[in-house]
Amino acid sequence: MTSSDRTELPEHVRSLSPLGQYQWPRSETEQTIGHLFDKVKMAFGGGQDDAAIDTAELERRSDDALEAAIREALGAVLHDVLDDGYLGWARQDVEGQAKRLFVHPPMDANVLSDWAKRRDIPVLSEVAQLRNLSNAPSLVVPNLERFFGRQVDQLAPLFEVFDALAAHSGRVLVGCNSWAFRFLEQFDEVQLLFGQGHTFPAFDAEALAIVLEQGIGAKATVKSVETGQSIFERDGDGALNDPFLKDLAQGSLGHPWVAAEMLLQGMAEATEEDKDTSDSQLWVQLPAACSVPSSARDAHLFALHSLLIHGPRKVADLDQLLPNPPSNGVWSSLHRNGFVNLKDDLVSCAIRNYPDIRSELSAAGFNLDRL
Amino acid sequence: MEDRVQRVSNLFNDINGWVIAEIILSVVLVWAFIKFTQKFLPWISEFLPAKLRHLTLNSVPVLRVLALLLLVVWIVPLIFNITLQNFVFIAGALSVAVGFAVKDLATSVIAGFVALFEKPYRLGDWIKIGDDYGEVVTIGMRAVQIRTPDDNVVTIAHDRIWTENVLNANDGFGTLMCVATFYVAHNQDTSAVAALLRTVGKTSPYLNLDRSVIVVAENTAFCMVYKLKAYPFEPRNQFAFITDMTERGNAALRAAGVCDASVPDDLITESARS
Repeated sequence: MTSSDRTELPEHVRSLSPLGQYQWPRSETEQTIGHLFDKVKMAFGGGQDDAAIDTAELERRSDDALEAAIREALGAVLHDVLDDGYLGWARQDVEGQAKRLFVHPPMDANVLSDWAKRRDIPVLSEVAQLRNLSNAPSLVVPNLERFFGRQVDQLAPLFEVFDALAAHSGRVLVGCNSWAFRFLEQFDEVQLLFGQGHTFPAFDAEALAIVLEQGIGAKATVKSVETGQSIFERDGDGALNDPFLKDLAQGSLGHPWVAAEMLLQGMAEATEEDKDTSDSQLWVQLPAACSVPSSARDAHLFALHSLLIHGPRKVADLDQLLPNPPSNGVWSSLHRNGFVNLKDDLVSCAIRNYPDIRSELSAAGFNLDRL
Repeated sequence: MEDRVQRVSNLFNDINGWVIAEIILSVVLVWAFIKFTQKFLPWISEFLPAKLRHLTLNSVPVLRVLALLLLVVWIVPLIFNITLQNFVFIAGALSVAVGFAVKDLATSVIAGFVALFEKPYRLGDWIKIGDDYGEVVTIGMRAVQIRTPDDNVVTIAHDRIWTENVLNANDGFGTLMCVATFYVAHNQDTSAVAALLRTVGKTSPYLNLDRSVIVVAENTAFCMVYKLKAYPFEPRNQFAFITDMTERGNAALRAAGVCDASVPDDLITESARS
């Protein structure tokens, strides 16, 4: 699908947002209190009594083709936004400062590197590549967080990269996870080298409707479990009828990739006997809130905070970055509770539950990322 | 004589069974409300972001005073016939009674009332009064209770604020300064040691990233003393934070080949040698 085939996104989500000007759908306090309320509701066994369909009659839908289509549509939209912000500058078609910074909340680690590769811009992913790329006219460093660990003796590669970037004469775009950037902000080099950073804009219900509808297309009708209405249906004025996408935009903190994962997680179809065979119909609801276990709560929270800063890593590497000798089983406990993915000893953040992770860390007073 | 009896009886309203029931009910309701706020608000505040947590905790003593004031305003007209003359008479009698009988209690209660507005301490603050240091866990009408790092609860009458300095480490904010001290031999590279210790502070998982990390070096007769000063994101982590900075600071200094301070040989007495 080319950009000309796609429905145009609303103006406010077509270009990058300067850091500090991200339009959060809900304030930090509202988000944390909302999460607390959801947890209380869960604890009292709260369900949707007035739902349009009995959730017992639904079974979770897992469709690889549909998931791939949604992710592809989203990836294309994000690449368009990156094109708008950086492509002309990277090709030296337009003037601008030599080093630029792109900060993003936890997401698919390959978005920026895929974009650079498709636009034929060299990518620096290891310190060893520095020498070969020192003369490249433009360069993308997609994951700055991979070059350091939050330990005194694990910062050297990062400063080596900073030295090389300072000496680089071409244009350099540095991508960094927002939690890592919050940690790195305390080092003067970051402010001095890059200046004002940018991030993806917050996607509201309208923008999500366009992206998700492009991904799902005519493959299925998607209805809200709560209201029974199609989530993409619009009234005479073109406004969305159903509140699901508004709730999804708020629940996902305006991050479209989180919204997509939440949608996929909450997608279900009616069991065989209840299915209307004439139409492919999917039902969606927001996933239930996750809670950090109350036992060893601090160990869980420090582990999550460390994971957000450093990005996906091996268990043994992350364990070295925790404040105390790690409790055995903390990662498998987090995996059981839906906060992390654990595959082949590699831990990564479960993006669909990222808003819950952020709320839990906020309630415990941790330093949150800033967009 | 009859006139005096008449004047005293004019002070009071007719008190029947309904009035007594109303007074008892009011007292019970206010007591229940105070107990509820004292239990529920601190519990709910544990789940809230730091800013909101302090606001919630600070509302507990304010709500208690408001409830008690409401109770007084509600009950007094039920018992007394309030006129200016009666008010002066009752206030005078009350002052004499309080002055002689419960002076210390009254002083503490008044100090507690002043503390509500002056705010030398709030719930959740880490304070030191005399030799006692700890987190404020209860602010009552007469006294404040603090929980020390050794998990003892110390009850301190409010009237100590009249005579003693109150040291408040966080003063209503969500963080407080922690200091880890290092003793390093002379003739080491001061700026390199300071930079290393600063990095130790900056890489602590307990660090509050909104505050600076500072290293202060001081010459003493036998060694250089470095004080690594930083703020944890949660005041309750202060001891874990200091321990973390100390452990990792010592390890970093050792790894960098920095020599520890040692006591000069000529200061070690013969008895210590043996």
